[in-house]
Amino acid sequence: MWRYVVRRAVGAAIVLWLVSIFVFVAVRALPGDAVLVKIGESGRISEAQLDAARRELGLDDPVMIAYAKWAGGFVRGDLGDSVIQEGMSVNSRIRKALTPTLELSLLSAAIGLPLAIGLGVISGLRQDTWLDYPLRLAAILSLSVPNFVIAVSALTFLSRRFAYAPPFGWVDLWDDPLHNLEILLLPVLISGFSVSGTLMRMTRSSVLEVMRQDYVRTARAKGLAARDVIWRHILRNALISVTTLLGITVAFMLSGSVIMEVIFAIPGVGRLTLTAIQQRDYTQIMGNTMFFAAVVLISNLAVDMLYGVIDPRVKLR
Amino acid sequence: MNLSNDWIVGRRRLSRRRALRGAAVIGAGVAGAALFGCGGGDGEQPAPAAQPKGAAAPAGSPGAAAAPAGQPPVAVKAADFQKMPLAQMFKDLDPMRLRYLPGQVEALKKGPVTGGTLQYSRDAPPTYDVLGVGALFVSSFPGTHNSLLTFEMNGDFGPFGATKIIADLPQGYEFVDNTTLVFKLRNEPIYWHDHPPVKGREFTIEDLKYGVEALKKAPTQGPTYRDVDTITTPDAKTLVIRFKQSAAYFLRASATPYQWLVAKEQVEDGSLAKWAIGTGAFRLVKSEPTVGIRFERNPKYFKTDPIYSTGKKLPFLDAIDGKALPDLATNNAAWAAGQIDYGYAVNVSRTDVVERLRDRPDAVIVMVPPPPSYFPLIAMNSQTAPFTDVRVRRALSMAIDRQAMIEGIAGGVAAPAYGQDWTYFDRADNPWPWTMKELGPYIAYNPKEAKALLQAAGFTKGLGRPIELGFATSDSGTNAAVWLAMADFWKQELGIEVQISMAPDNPAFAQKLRSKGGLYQDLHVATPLPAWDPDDWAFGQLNSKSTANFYKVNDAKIDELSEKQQRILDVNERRQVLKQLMDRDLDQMYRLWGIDFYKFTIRSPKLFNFADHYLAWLTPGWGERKLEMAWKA
Repeated sequence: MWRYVVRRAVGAAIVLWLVSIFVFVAVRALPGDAVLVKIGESGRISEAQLDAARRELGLDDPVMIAYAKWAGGFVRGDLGDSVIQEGMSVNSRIRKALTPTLELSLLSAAIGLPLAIGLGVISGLRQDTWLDYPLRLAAILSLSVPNFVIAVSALTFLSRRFAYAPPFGWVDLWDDPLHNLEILLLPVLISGFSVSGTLMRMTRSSVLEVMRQDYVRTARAKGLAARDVIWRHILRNALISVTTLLGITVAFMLSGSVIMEVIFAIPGVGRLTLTAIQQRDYTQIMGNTMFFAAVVLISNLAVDMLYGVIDPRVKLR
Repeated sequence: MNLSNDWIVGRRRLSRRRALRGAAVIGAGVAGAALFGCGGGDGEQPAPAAQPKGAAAPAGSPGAAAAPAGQPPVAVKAADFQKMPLAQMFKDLDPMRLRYLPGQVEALKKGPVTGGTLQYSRDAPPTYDVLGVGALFVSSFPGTHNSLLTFEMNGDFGPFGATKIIADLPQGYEFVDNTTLVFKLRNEPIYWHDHPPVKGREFTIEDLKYGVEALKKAPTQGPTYRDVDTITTPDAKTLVIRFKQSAAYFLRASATPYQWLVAKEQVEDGSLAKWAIGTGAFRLVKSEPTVGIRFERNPKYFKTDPIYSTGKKLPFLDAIDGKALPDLATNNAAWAAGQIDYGYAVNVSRTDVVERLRDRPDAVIVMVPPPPSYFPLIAMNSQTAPFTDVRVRRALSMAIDRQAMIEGIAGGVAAPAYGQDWTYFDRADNPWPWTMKELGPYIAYNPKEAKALLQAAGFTKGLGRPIELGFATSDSGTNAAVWLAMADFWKQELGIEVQISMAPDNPAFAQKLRSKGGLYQDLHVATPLPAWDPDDWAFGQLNSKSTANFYKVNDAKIDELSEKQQRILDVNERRQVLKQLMDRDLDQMYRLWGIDFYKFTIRSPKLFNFADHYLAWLTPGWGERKLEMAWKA
C-alpha cells in the first residue's frame, strides 16, 4: 500500500513538473505583459520607462532563467509575489481565495452529490416508472442547460421581479455566518444542481447494470430481503464506477467554478485565475495552475485508494 | 474576416439604418452596455433649493433652458425615455434640472445631511503606487489624496467651457509672472491619515515640496512637469514653481486626478503600492482585489462645505463602499435590488437605460456629453501607402454617413466624434460636442466626392487590395458597432475590402501597437484616454515627438502649432492656435472619426451633490475625488 502511494507521489511530482513547464511557456507566449496592463491606455510612458518597469519586475529575464527562478521558489514552497498586485504574495492570495471556493464547492457537493446519488439510485431501481421519468428529465436539464444560463436567469428574474439579489460583497463565514450563507445560498443551489446531472445519470446506469448481474439474481434467488439486496449488493457495486466520477467532480469544483464566482461576485480561486490571465499576472497564473494540478492529482490518488476500500477485489500494489 | 455586404442598394438609407439598429442591439448585448460595469464617475450635483452659491443657471448653460419657472420637471419614466427625442433630452436630462425634481425638493430644503454610506460597483486597484507606471489604476479612487490643483465642481455648473481651476490642498495659487507660479499653504492645519508609517502627522510645506518633486520624477506625471525648472519653499507657507519657459498646459494638466501628493515616509519604506495614505476626505480602510474597497470619513479633513455655507466639515458621507461586481448581470441585479446607489451608462443603447429605469422607477437619470478626447476613432498608419495620400484619407472619411450611424446605432443619442476638447473653446451657445458643421467638409457624408477623390488618387476599384483593421475584442459593444459600420461604408461606397485583425484582449492589442516596427499595416481602432488639457490631444496625440502618437502622424505644421500652443498663456490666443491645429488635422484627416454616445447616469434619488459632469466621466471615474461633497438623504 505505502509503496503504491510513494510510486503515485513520484508520478504526481513528474506530472506537476511537466505541467509547470507547459504552462510557464504558454503564459509567456501570450501577447502583452503585466506592464502593458498596468499602463492602460496611457501614452505618457516611454519605451525606456516600460523597459525599466519590466526589469524591476523581472519580466525581461530569458524564459529559461525566469523558469529556473520560479522553480527554485516553488521547491521551497514560495510561489513568489504577484506581478500585478504589488506587495502581495501568490501564496497569500491563493490562501485567501481558497476559503470562498472551498465553501462554495463543499456546500454545492453536500447538496448536489447526495441528491444525485440518491435520485440516481431511485431512478435506476424504478426504471421506466412515473418516478423515473421526471428524474431523468431533471438530470438531462442539469446536463444540457449551462450553469451560467441558470445563474443569470435566476439573478435577473429574482432581482427584477422581487427586487432581490444575494448580498454582493463577500463576508467571511467566521465574521458573519448568516450573511455568509445568504451570499452562498443561490450559487450553491445552482452549482449543486449543475453537478448533479452527470452523477445522477451515471448512478442510474450503474445501478441498472449491476441489477442485471448474476450475483444480484443469486442474492434474490437465495431469498434475501430486497433492502439487503439493494444495500449490500447493488449499491456497493454500483458506486465503484460512480466513485471515479465523484473524484473528478470534487476536483473540478475545488479548482474553482469560474463562472459561478464571477456571476455571484465570489472572490474564489477561479475568479482569481481568470483575473490573473487577463492581467498577465504570470506568477499568479503559475501558482494557481500548480494548485489546480495538485488538487486533481491528490483527488485521483484518493479515489484510487478508495477503490481498495469499496471493492476488495482491487489490490493497491 | 471579410465584412459582408448585406444592405439593399435600392433603399440604401432606410435599410442601412435598420442594419445599424441591428448592429447596435447586437453590440449592446455583446458587451459594451456595461451600464454599471464601469463603476466610475461621480460627481456632484447641482445645487439645492436652499440657495447655494450661484443658484441661478447661467445664461447659455443647459440648465437655463431646462427649468423654466413654475414648470418643475418630473422624474423621467421608462416609457417616456424610450421615445424621448434628443432635443428634449438636452432640456430634461441635463444636470441642472435635478434641483427641481419634486421628490427631492424637501430634502434639498433641509440641506446636506452628514452620514450614510454610498454603495457602488468598484473593485480595489492592484496598486496604489501613483508614482509608478500604473498611475492610471489609482487615479480615480475617492478622495484619499489631495493635489495641487483641481477643477471646481461645486454646486451649479456654468457653461461647460467655463470650468474653473482652483487650488485643492493649498489655499490658493497665483502666476506672479509668465514663468513663476506661487502656492500658499492653508492657515488651518492639514493632517495625513492616521496610518503607519505616516501616523497622522501634520502636513508641512516640505511635504508639499516633496510631493511635487516626486510627481516631477514619476513616469506618468513627469510630462506635466517637463518645463519646470525649480521648486522652492521660501517660507513655511509658500511653494514656488519656476518654469524654464511658459507652460500653458500646466494648470489643467495638474488638475488631472493622478497628481496625488504622497508622503515621503511611504516612498521611502516602499509601502506606496500597498496602501493609500493621503490628506484627503476619505481614509482607505479596506482594499481587497476581487472583493472590493471601503473608505471612511477622515475626521480631520480640512475642508468645509463650499456649497451651502453651513459651516459643516467635509465630507458629508460616513463611508463609501465599493463592491467588486465583475459581471454585467450582477451589476444590474445589484441595482435592481437596491444594493448599489448609482450606475454609469457608457455607450449603452436606449433600451438598456429603459430597462434600468424600469427596475427602479424612482431613479434619477441624467445625460451628459461624452468626456472630451475620449472619442473612439480609427487610426491610419499614415506612413504607409495608400494612407500617405491625403485624398485617400479624405475619401475614407467622406464615405461615412455619421448621421445615419447616430440615428441607427445610437437611437439619436450621440454626436459626431472628434477628439479635441470642445469645452476649451468659446462655444457658450453650445455646451455639447462638436457639430458636423464645425468639423468641416471632410466629416460630411459625400460618397460622390469620396469616389472622385479615390479615383484622382489612382484607385478605380477599392484600394486594389484588402486593408487590415486592427481590432481589440475588449472594445466591443456599441464602439464595435460603430467601427464595423464605418468599415461597411467603405465597402458599400468605395468597394474597399476590410479584413479585421482581432487581438484577443487589451494587453495583446497594446503589445501590437507598441511592438518594434509597430502598428497594424493599415488601420486600427483606438479609444484615447480623456485629457483635461487640450495639450494632451494637440501635442500628445499628434506631435511627431510624442510617445502617445501611436498614429505616427508626422506633419511639420502640426508639430509647429502643437509646440506653439504650449507657450501661449492667453486663453483666447491659445484657442486660436489650437483651432488652427484642429483645422489642419481635419483638413489632412489623419484619423477617421465615427460617432460617440452621450452618457447616462442613473442613481438613487436620495443622493445629492453628485456630479454628473463631463470631467467626472467614466472609468476610471475621475470625478470620484469629488465625492467629498456628496450626501445622502
